[in-house]
Amino acid sequence: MIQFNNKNTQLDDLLARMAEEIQLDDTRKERMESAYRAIESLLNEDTGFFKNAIFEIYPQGSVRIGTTVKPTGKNEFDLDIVVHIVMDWEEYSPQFVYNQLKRVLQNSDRYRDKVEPKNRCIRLNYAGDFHMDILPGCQETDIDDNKLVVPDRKLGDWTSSNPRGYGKWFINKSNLVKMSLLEKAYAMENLPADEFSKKKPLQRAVQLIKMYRDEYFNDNKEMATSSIILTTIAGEFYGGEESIFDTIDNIISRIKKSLSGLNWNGDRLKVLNPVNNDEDFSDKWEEDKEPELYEYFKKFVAHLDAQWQNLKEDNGVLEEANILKGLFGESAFLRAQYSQVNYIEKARKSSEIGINTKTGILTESLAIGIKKVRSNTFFGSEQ
Amino acid sequence: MEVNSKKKYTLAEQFVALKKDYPEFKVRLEKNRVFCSGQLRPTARSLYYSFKLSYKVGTRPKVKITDPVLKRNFKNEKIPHVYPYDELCLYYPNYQEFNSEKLIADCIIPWTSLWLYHYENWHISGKWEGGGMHPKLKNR
Repeated sequence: MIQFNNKNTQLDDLLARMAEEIQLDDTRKERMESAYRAIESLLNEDTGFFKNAIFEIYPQGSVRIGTTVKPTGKNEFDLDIVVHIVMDWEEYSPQFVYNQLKRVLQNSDRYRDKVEPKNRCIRLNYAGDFHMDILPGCQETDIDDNKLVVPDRKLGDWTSSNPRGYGKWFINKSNLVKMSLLEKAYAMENLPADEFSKKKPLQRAVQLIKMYRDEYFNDNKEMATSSIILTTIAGEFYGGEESIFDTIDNIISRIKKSLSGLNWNGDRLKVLNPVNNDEDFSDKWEEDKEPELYEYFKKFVAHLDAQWQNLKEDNGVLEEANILKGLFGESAFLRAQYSQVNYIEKARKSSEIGINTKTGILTESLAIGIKKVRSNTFFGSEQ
Repeated sequence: MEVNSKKKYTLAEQFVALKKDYPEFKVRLEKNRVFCSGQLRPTARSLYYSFKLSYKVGTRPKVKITDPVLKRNFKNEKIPHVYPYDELCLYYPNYQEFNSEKLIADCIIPWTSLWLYHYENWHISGKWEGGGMHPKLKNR
């Protein structure tokens, strides 16, 4: 499907193609899925603690909410999964539950060498491919089957967590829009939507913002704003926009507005966990912690803002290509651009393109006012 | 006269077809030439390109982009698929993709848009993805 008739759909088409290029591919996803299913089987086979425990395993984070971005450079992708146990947790110490998971993994020939204990989770290192962080958690109450308490080893106590609740919150936000601009464009042409047009604008926006973050902080990775902060801000500020472009535009302007209000007060922006307001994801931005992270976040937003405003001007695709390369990286942009060109060339070969006789815009439709593009061979001497 | 021979279009017929199919373009008929000019953009986010076309029956239609001026890409490569003076090479004459039995309105104008699309992409990616042939390459 060519989306050249309308300026906004054309840009959204390109943005969606870019996000599609940089998300985790299906083979990698399947490999991770089978890796975490294998953990489930291992726990089911346990003759100790897990034998009689009621538990389930599910992913959390970007895989859960459809906002994955391929890691850049040497970074590995991390899959976060939760072992959600239903039991009378107050009878046990957090260390006990943590150690039960560690025991099962360390007793397994398959996982022994991969185990790396972390503060709350146990990491399995699949060398050179990805790592999986397994978080053991106990359901806090019967009333809410999403809220967990998880062991915090540094704290020596339980701490609360709600990964599934967070996922629900984000998906609900994404669904504020019923049909995105791209879905509508496809529906109008009576064409089945490509897989890539089905993702919601908020999900695409988060992928793109994270991608831009990776580009922006490429030489300064330790100052990069975390994904959970960016995802949460995007979800909080999303207003149900239909296009990816407007979604990002609105998120930027809402951040700017909040920042200018706060600067006036001398306060900082707080990014609270939407399903547990006691948790401040942006805790590190405190004056006595790492306030430089906050300064970098503000610079990052200002830069994105300037570029995004440029995209609103009628600069032509050449200038826009430079802006988009700068924001999201040259290779992702070029792959997206190529997938568009490739589409045009395929349609051309099967004589399915025409031009609008008023504007010259290429289109797939062959309705009234459209002149078919006949078969031709570009020729010419090299000067 | 051969029964099967196709009819050649007269200049007047070329003029009328352009006028009718592209009401936004300026089309002018002179004694032995038809002239056409206007603006085209291959996609909604592209710039408008002004072009000028002139045609004399039995010759190659000359198409030139007048604004913005065509230029080399970021690799400093020469513009592909142009004749001298940057006139666009839109078809291979030996294949008879265009000849005096065909309408400029049907062939040359749509090909110009398609050429512009690939020209823009060539600037963006450094690659001409629109296919075609260069005579020099055959002689290598």
